[in-house]
Amino acid sequence: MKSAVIFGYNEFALEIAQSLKTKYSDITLFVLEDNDRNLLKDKGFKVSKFDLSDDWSMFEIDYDLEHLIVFCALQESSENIFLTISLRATFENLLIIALSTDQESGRKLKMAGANKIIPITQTTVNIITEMLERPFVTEILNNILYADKDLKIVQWTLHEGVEFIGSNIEDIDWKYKYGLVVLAVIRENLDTSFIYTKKANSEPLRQGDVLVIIGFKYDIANFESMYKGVIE
Amino acid sequence: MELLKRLFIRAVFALNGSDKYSHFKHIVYNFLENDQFRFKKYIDFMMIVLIFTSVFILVKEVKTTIDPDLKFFNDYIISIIFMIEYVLRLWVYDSSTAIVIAQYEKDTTLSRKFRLRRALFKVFLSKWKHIRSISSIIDLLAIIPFFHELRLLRIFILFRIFKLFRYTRSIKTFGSVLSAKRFEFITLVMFASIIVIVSSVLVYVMEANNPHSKINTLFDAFYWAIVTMSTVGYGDVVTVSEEGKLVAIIVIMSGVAVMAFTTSLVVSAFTEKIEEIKEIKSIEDITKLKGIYLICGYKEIGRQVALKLKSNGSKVIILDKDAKLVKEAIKDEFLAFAHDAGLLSTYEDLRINFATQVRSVLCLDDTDVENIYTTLTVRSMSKHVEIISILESKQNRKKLEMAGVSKIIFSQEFIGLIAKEYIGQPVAFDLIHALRSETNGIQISEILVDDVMLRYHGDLTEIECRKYKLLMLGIYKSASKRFLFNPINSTHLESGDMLIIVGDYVFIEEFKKHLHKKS
Repeated sequence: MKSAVIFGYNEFALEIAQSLKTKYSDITLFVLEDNDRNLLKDKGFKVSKFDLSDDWSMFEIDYDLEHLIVFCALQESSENIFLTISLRATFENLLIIALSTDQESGRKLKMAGANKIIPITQTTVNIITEMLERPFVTEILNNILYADKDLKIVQWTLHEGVEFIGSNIEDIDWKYKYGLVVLAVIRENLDTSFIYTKKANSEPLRQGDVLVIIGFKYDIANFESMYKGVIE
Repeated sequence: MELLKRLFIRAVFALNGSDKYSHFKHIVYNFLENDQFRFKKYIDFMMIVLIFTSVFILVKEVKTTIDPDLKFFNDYIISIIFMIEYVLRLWVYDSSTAIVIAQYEKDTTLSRKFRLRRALFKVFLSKWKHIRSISSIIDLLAIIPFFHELRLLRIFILFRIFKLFRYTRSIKTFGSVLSAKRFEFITLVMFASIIVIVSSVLVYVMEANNPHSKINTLFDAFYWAIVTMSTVGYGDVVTVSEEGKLVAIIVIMSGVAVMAFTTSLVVSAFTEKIEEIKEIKSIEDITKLKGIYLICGYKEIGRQVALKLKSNGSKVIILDKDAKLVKEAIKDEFLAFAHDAGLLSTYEDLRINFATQVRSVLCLDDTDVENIYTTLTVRSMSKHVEIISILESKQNRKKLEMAGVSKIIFSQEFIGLIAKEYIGQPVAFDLIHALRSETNGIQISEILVDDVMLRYHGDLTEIECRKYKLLMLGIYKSASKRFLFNPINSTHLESGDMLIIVGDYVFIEEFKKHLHKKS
């Protein structure tokens, strides 16, 4: 069973919990104060109290670590960093996503072992400036990413035996044959490579490459039925 | 007499109610007194040219005979122009008709006979206020050379130079800075005058009867005192007696002190006023700007947004109550003011016109209370300006909406959605966010379809995206307000449509140029 653990009691933690409800059946909020625990219980959340000095090895008993995702969303940056490093010290492979208020704490969280940092200020700044400078792009991307509209963005890993292996990405008729747009090709040992870069043009597709695809739901469904392995 | 009075008051009411008269007076006022009026600078420039022409002719006339036409121009034309200017300034200074009407209404209300003399006296008093102002006196003196037959009066042409105070802002600023230290300067002048008078008399008494001394009159003594006091010391007139030299020592020491004190006064006056001067300059700069983003609150989010907008070439103005944050903003090279964005007076002081100058108002303070307050203030001044505000607490969303915010940014909600998206498809998520943050020069961009572009490219077939290594994600059709994803090549383009393109920044720029040329 996929589980999510969210540390912290604040609006960010609550919004994350709300968003994850559709994807995770087991969501637990870990809070530092008794008061917070009672408040969250009243709101219908599964809540546990914790202390920064806790021994996290007990975690293994309660959760299947392979299917667990942890969000560190404590208000205090120092506490958030300490929590992240404590979890990483105990569990090498745990998926930890941490919220950072500024660049400095973001760097420290990365050093502390977080897999992914969500920078709160930077995200807000990007949203505001995009809204002002590129309103159409913002609307389109938000619809693709967040709204439950017809357009979807998916990633698809080229698995063994797929006919595209060895072909050049530009030689495939994505538009008319599949109704899709391939936004990027990502190769493990490379940084993100986009199809419009010269490098990607000259290199044929290989097994293991990840294609980021945008398309209408039904086109993606058709593509999935043909090739399998699409992750929505 | 009563009939005359009635006719007079009728004429005054007619004049006061005349739109043409008010409009004409307003235009004259704008040209002469309104610094914000964009054509005023031309009148100012013309007057400056006339002033310098006049002084040039005066100087040239000393040693040479000047052309009679030029002389006529100087003596009559320039003087008449200055006289007209003087009269017009006197006219627009106040509303005489309003003063007369006020007196009439007062008398009528109190069931008294209309006191015409009193009304005219009030008009005169009001005009007198203007006449006795320094700038008006200078204007009057500048007209005097008109009576050129009186040779001595020609020197009054030099007073025309003082008229420059009216037309050059820097001189005005200099004057206002010095006038702020008026009391100190008067004290200093009094002190220096006493020293000069006392030392002149002393030196005269001690030296006048000395056959070796050049100080023979009180005027010589006064001249010596001034030259010594000012630390100039020409040396043409000197004291020779022991007593006289003693006085000279005292005058020299006082002179040094007065000079040092004067210098420090001027410097301190400027130091104290420098922020004000800078702010005045910044306000002048604002009035010239258009399409500005007004950022209210320069805390972390405000700062980051401002920097990003600036890097994109947008014009940004910062408002924050906190002087420290404003200093930081100025250090970041923004036009910033330590004013409360929630006060109407702020926008009046800064002379911000929401309709013509402001593109969007961004309420980025870290409390909903401040953002709501600012929104209400801005909305009370402009119903249409776009207001974007951040929301700190979900429960205040409705309050922000009620206050009139056009778009609300609730970061917490976005973070929640981002978290959900990330755990689903981390690679796609990272890619989209890399595109959004424009790292590595790759960006997702909007290109507006205009008439020039349509002349050369009627549909997508002729738009060679691939040649420029670009991806066309789709077209936003402005007419139907719909996004056409992955459009087919024969899609017809219309003016106002927006092409959504992904690619290298440099290639996108090249592509834009290509779209405005024939294929």
